[in-house]
Amino acid sequence: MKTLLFGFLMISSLSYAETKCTTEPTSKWKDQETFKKDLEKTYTIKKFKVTPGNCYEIYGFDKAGKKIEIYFNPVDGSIVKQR
Amino acid sequence: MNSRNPHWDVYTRLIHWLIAIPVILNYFLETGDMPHKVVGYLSLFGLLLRALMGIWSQGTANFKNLPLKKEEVKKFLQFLFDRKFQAYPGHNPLASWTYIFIWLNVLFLGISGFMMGMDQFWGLDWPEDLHRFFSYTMQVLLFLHLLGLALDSIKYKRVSFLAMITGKK
Repeated sequence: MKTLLFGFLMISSLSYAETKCTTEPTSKWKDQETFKKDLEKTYTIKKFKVTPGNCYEIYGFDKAGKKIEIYFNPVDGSIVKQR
Repeated sequence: MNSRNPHWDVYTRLIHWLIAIPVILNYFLETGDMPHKVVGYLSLFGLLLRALMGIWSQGTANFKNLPLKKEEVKKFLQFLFDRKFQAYPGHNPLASWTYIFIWLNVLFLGISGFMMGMDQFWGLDWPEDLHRFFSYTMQVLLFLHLLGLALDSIKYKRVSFLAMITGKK
């Protein structure tokens, strides 16, 4: 029984898989405000955040009104994941 | 099914795992991705089946047969401390309450998850916060579930963990 509980605790610590964008220090990252302003030319941004996986992530809508969620590499601004 | 040798029928077992396995899997599948959503909805589907079973079945799966009353819970707690033997054909009072909270938790995970994908709530923090909150309460409830099974094992001297696989209680 103890092994099962222990195993369960171990497994739950592995949880919450994450998109990772960079390992570079934040000093190398693009300025958030400038980057966000730039994105606003293409997207309507509802939320802009820095993820635990070191990404700039936005939630919003594209020009066609479709929902978008995009993870950017904060160093070069490239799209790492989009859905 | 009788009180001497109760067992879980194959539908109960299938539905249990149809709810349980997706819930556990979704801790590993990245939130928001299609697999996470599909798996989550599988769990909701299992929950729907369990609800139908709870309404229509004749045996211990029927919601009416869950020993939920305060007197039942008190009696069960008493018996736990008195060490007197008492077999429940279905779920005992504490287990019954835990399962109700588990089912509700899965339902709220499903609702908050679905809301996260809706245009009206897109990008808002609170549906995500809710979903995350219920993922934490889910872990607590899961722990209680396993703890109860362990205590059941010790109390009745049986391998309770296998019951939902083999059917034998």
